[in-house]
Amino acid sequence: MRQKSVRVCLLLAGLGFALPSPAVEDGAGFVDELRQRGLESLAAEYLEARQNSPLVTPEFRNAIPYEKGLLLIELAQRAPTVKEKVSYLEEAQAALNDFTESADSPELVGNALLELGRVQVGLGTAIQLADAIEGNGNSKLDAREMFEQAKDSFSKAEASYDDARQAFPKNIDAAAEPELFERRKLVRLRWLESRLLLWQAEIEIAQTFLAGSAEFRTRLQTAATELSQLFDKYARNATGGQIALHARFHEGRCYHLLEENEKAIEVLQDVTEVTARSPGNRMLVAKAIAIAMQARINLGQLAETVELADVCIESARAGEDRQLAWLHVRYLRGQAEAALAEQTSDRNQKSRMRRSAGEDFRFVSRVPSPYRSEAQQRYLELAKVGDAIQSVDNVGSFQEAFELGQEAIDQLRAARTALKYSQSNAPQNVPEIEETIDSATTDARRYLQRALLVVDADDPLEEINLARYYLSVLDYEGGELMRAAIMADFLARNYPDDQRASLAAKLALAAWQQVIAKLPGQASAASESFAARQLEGLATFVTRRWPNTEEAAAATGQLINLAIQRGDLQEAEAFLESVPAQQRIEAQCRLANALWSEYLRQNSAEEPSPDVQQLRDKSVQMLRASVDSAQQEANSPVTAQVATAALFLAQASIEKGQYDAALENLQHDRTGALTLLEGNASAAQGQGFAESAYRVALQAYILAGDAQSERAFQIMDQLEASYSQRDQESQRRLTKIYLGLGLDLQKRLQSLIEEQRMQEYAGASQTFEEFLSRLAERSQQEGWAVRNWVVEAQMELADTLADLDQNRAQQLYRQALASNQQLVQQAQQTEGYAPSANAILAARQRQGELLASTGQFREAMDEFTVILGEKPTALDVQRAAAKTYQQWGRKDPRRYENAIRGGRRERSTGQNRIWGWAKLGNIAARAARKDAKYRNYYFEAWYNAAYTRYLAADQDKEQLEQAKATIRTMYQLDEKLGGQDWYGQYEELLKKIQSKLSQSPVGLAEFATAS
Amino acid sequence: MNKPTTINPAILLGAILTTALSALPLAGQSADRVRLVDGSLQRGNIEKVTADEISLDKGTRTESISVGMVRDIRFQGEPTELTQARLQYQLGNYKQALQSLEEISAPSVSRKEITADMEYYRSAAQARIAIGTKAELRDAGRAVQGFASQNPDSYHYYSALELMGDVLVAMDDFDKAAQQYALLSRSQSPEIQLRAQILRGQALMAQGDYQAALTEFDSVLRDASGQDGDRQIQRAQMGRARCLAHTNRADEAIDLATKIIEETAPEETSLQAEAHLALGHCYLGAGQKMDALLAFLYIDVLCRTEPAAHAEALYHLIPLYAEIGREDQARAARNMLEEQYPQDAWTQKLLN
Repeated sequence: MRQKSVRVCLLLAGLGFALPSPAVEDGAGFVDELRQRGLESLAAEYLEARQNSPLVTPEFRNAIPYEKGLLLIELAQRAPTVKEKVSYLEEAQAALNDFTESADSPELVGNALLELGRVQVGLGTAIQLADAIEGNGNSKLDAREMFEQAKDSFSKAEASYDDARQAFPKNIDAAAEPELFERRKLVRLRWLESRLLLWQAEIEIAQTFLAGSAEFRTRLQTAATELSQLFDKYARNATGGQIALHARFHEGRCYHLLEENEKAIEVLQDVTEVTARSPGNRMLVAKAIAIAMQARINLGQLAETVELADVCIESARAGEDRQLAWLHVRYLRGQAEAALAEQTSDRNQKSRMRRSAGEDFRFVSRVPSPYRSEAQQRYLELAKVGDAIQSVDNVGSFQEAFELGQEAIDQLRAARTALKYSQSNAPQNVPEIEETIDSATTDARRYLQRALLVVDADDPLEEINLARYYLSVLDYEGGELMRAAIMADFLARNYPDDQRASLAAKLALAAWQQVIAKLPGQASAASESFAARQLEGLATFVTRRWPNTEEAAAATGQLINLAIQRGDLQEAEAFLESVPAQQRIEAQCRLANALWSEYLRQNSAEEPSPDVQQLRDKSVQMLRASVDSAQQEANSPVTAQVATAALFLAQASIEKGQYDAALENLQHDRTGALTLLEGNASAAQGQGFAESAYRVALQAYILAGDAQSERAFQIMDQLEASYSQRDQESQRRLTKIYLGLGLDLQKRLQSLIEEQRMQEYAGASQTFEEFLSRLAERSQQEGWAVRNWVVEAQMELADTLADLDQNRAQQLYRQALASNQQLVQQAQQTEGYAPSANAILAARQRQGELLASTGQFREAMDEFTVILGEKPTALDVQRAAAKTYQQWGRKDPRRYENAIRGGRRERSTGQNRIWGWAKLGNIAARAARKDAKYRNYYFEAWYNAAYTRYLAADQDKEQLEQAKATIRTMYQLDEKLGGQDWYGQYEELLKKIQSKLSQSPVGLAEFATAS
Repeated sequence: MNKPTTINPAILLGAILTTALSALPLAGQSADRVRLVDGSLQRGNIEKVTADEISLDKGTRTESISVGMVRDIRFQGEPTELTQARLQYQLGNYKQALQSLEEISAPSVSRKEITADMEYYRSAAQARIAIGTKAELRDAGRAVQGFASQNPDSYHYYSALELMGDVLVAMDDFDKAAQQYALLSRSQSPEIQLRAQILRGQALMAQGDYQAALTEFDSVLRDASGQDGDRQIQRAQMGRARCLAHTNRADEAIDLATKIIEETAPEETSLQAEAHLALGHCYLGAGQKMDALLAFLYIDVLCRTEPAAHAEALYHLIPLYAEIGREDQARAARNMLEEQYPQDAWTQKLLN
């Protein structure tokens, strides 16, 4: 900015600018001030407005296009996009062109042309850049045109400066006329600069031709010759020395591009050997070194390349090593070292060189630059092979092992970042990156373990502890919880002043907790284990060492959990007492949550302890108290523990059938789970909270009856909408929520039936029906278990509804039939989809049963016939087939005979494929002699044989007598008739038969008397 | 009258500083480094070494260090291969230790302490291999005996006597081993005197006579009352805990082992390792396998610098891991035992 200001003054001075009179504005000063404040746009507007204004001097007015051009160049430099940059530069070009056409001072014209040329070079580069991004492929032509224009501008600038130069007197006394002397010096410098820029533009033009083509070569050779002359003539000149040095650098570039590597090295030596005192020169020297290094790499002079870079990097001043030129040098040194490593057969040297190259690549990969991504790639490659030659056992010092471990950790981090990027942008790279992650994890673990093995008393404690911390994290992430717990616990307790101690404590607490949770046997025994003692010791330590912190709160929670697991409620409450008042609600909720979780755990046991109810009461009491406190204390934060306690309380209310209370709790304006979720509160962001909350809410709404079912479906809609954009895994989770809820509802419906609350049942079953239909739709992509459950649940609901509402039952049977059909089809088409062949058989049998339930008896029998063709002795299928004939008999009484005697005769054997109740009874009788489990089939079959005759009898006395005879025989064979259940059913049937026969309905007593 | 000599105070101060600085071994500069069993480091010039004591010139004063407190000494100017060999020996890599010692060129060593050190590690590594493999025990015993008789002033003298006892235990010659261990009580160091008794108890444990071993350890604890040698007292308690675990007093054993662990500084890796071994055995005795696993795992995670305890812990971890279905970890423990301690007795026990 200051430079520009100087330029304005020079420009004005060149015009013989007089100080503006008070009547006119100080246009130059004003523009300068606006620039200094970063208000270039305003300055441009000001210049626009003053183009014809009498408020500024005519001289300033004439210079306005030039000033505008410069401002636009500044704006272009800051433009965020290439498009904007091009737009500014085009405007700048127009403005500067205007100026050169109207200005009459050759010096000023030169200035403007110089800037114009620069703009044109900028435009050419911007066009190339835009093409690299958008890839339209025409850039070389457009860019070449722009570079040609630039060359023309520089050429004209040179001519103008030459004219201006000639206008100065030959001899000027510097002491007598210092200003004039300096101005002439400046004009000469500009003249030389124009020449330099002209040939630089030529290099750019050459590069728009195919590398190696005649045009490419000719132009570069010409440029090299011209630049060489410039250097030779002015290298020792006080004014032109700097220009000459730059000319030499670009000459070197030409030879490098022409692949005349030796010549490039020789020429660039004139630049690299310059004592680089001024920052400008230091940058030029670093650039020259980079090109010389490239040339040497091309010639295979790798060791020399490394030497060249060493000097440059070692002498870099603070901050320089992160500048582009130095990053380039470092990147090239990495390349040379890596190539050298491949050439040597000495293992140690190879290892050392790879490590050194790795360090260079790692350094470059940390700083934004054009070399960054390539360096990252090279670093990952090198680190991968590096391990193959770097045996852990050869690492003899802590420092070396620690550094290698740290490198592996860096590599791991880089690979994890790359993985995140590749998952969405380059999935083809994912397997390789995952492999890198695995190997880096293994390396990190091995080197860090080695470091701790060879540690010495005077190795730095901070690094020793860092190695411990890394190892514990790696183990924790790798699921090696016991190892993680031991290491992190050790670090936290023994080195509490270490900066990672509290993190280690947190990790150890979590790891110990998970170790204990996985211990086999009773929780009370687990709470007495070694792991529990460690956890208790650490938790106590944490509460004392870091009181009033998140870690201390978590530790108190662990202590409370342990006390609860031990069944020591008093101790748990004592821990609560030790919590400071401001954290009491949080701890109270934690205790209540732990108690409720313990109750759920114990209650889900096959045989819950008799004390479980007492535990429930206590838990609910504590939940109520803690949630009440949280609701009343308006200033206390609603944390995850508070939110969970409120949710648990709602769950407890549902369990007791208090749906309204549950809903009230879920919707509470401070602690309600639904309120928190709607407000996206942090307390509701915990893993699984949303799922649990929606599940509980759905339960409450559905079970609350018709009035709330609409809201239930709204929640389901919200839930589905929120999951619709998520991945497949999330979709599955939602289905799981539905499934869990479905199971809960099924249980609840069952208990309504048992309690004879049929009105409530009717309402709730309707909601359940709708719910099942949604789940059936969702579960198309699910596995066998979910879909099978849906069909079974639909069928079960239909069976229950069959007596209450035939239409609804039929509708449900049809839905179940369609779902089952798809399930069977998929199982038959996809190997391994069903868990076993028997599972498929059961589904096919169900298909027959559902066909029968929907009145499609013939199709049902077809299905059974096919199954029994494959597996003739499948008793369950035979039973289902006989039952279907029996049902069919209601429509077609001839089928009653089939139900008893069987049907679907096979031509080959003359036997019925479907046995019917009589044969089933006989076969079951034989089987029951060997295995008691068949007794049920036996009694069932003969009961049904008698029952079918009873159904078929109508007024046929003979059929009724046969039915009665069957029962008599069964009674004579076994007076208990297989037990209470069957006895009752036989008795009831017999009484009906006796009534129809106009006999006294005394039941089985008739046979007892007879016998 | 003589004119008093004028001394430039600046020169005087410079001379004093120069003298003082040249006498003081600076950190990072060459000096003898004595590493103690608690993990700390003492630097200085060793003036004198006996079987009981090391005199260390620390520039401004000379310090005496009881041999019972010394883990090892790195001598100024010792060959790198000796440093390597010592590290390998301490990590239980006895063959590699011998290889490193082989690479030392004899003329390069002039200091007699360094020569003695090399001799000790050579004979000790041979003995450790022999004990592990139960082969060439007699030759190994002779080599150690040779070292002890030729180097009665070495700070390794009593370690060599102990090692000879270990060789005899490996030969199942418990009586002679007991006699050998008794020689340690000649030391002036209370630590080493107590060690003699503990080794006798350990030999009895090796024979499976836990009751007699318990009596021995009780006697150590009685005799040690009011004496120095905390570490040996703790070792006796560990021995006691293991004996209790094997004599149906598992709960008492667990409490005792836990107490020892709590009272032992975490930096005392050797004691921590032994204490966790004892605890692991106590849990095994009580049938608490998961707890035993965690106790042995502690050694694998934090005490790998103790090869004997680490090898034993790995040996016990193999079946314990398998029992909880962690076949991968069982395999890893087995591989580590075989690869890291091929000559260790626990590896041989596993393979045979």
